[in-house]
Amino acid sequence: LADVGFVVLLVAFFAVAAAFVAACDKIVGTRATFDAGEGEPAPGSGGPVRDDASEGGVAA
Amino acid sequence: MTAPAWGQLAALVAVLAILCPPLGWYLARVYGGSAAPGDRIFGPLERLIYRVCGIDPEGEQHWKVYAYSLLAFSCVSVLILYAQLRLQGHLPLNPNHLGDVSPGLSFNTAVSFLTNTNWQNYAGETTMTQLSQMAGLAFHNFVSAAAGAAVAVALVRGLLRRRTQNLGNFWVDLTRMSVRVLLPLAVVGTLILVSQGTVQNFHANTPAHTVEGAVQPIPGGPVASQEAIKEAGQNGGGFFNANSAHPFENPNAITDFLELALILLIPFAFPFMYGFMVGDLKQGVVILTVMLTLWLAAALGAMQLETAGSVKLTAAGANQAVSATQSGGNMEGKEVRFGPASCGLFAASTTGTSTGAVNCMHDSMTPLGGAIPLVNMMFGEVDPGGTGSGLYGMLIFALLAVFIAGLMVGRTPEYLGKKIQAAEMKLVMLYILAVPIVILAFTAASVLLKGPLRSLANSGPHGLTEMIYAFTSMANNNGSAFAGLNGNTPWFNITGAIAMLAGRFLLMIPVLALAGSLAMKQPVPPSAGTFPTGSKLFYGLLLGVVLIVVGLTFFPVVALGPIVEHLAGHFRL
Repeated sequence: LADVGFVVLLVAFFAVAAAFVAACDKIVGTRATFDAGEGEPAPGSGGPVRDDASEGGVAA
Repeated sequence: MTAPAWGQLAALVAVLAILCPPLGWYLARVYGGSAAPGDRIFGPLERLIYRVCGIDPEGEQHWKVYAYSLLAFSCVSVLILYAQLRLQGHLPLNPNHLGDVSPGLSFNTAVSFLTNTNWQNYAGETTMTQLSQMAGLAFHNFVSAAAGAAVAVALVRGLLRRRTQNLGNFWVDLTRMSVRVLLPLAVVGTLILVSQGTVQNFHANTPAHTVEGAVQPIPGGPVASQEAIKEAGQNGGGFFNANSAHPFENPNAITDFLELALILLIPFAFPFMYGFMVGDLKQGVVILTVMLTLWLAAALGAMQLETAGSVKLTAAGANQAVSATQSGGNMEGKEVRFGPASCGLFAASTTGTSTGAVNCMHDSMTPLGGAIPLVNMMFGEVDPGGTGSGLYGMLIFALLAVFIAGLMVGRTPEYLGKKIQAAEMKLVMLYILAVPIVILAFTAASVLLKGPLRSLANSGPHGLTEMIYAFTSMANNNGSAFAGLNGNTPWFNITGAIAMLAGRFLLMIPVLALAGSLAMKQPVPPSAGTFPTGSKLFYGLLLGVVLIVVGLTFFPVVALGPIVEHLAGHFRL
């Protein structure tokens, strides 16, 4: 019974880790959506974000 | 510190200065994808592995596929190791007729070696068969190191590549590191260790009759072959309970020096690899110098504190002076053939990397001397860290540093031309917060519950240090034991395994996501406002960020543990 419990625990951890991959992909995906638009607002965002790196401006 | 101690440190730095740059160049070629030295020797073996395992070496992987490959490999291999330990009594190469490992201990040990931690709640010579040591634990010594290296290389590729979602191939990276770097290093290390007297055989215990009439079993086994990869892959799990303090693992000063060099060689070579891969050696040198600064400070501090001696031993009337017949200093828990300075150097090196091997008992170090390996691990294994994990850990701090610099001057931060935006900082925060939460939560729970407290050998601040050290070591995948804590209980076997799994995979996944995110970006050309990340200024900023982040997180518990113990001993409270 202990063996079954530990095997289940191990498999469960890796299932959680796989879900964590999906959660991290959502974080990455948000930015990718924005970048794909080259300055256009991402769906659901408040508006365009200024790309200030080459202008010497203040970060938005 | 004595002249031999200074000499040992200087010789070690010199050897590393000679070997690390070419090894870094070699690693860059190994991971570069094109022709690399040794293709004629290693190529056929790699192709055989690819054919047997059905790997397409040309196939590139999206970061998610890379991460899933890592998880799938880890899940399957840990289950196989668990089964092997549970059945070892029925398997061959068991000359001492040892029984199966218990379920809880098998669980903890399988996770420990999977995660490159090598925390050991058992004594190897009385628990593990030779097959378990060779085919189970030593196998993971290779592949766990190679998996860490693969994640670091994926992050470097993420920084280098543009407008792609591919980071290479996990299976190819795992194979190439194992075959082309770790295996040759292990073979050479083994031969040198055997030449110096490290045991390598398949003998059962040999009974020795002592002058007092007792019978003492003298253990044998394939020790040297495991010892070499234990150090070269920053694993640290000893064949024997006493680890590198055991004369059959580490017989003399030459093997001690070799083991130190093996511990530090690959981690200090990785920044060079990084510099060569990104085509700007200055970037690698900045990473390297921060690692070197932290490691040297830790090594010098621990060596000095242990050679200066113990206040309590002085109060007890012990003579701790250097003389012709003794090495002087705090000799409690030290091997006479190594002395306190070697203990300090080994302790700083084994905890600065994610090795965890010991040549002295850390529990017997002076309070502040023992605080150094503890704090070293709290840095998150970045000085210089484990195989690959040191580099990606320091690159995470580098991204945090450029973000802070960007906040200070009001510009969007960049690193190697890649803009660091909200998504990247969220992933960096996940990385920075995961391990401290695990360490502090499990330690707090353990000191609040009566059961775990019964595992401690000491009470008061030293007991707290034993507890925080255990979870810091496990969560950071170090594996060194402070001792003074009985870890083979259901509580520590299970919570320790969870801490090790979390400390490994909850960091690797954000790193791979970060790599995927960065790989998709188009780099921007450097402008007048670009922060120079290959400069002395960035060295200072990066060092400061590491110290501040770790200090803010862990200073309270360090103050309550070793610092209080030091003050209490000093003022005889």
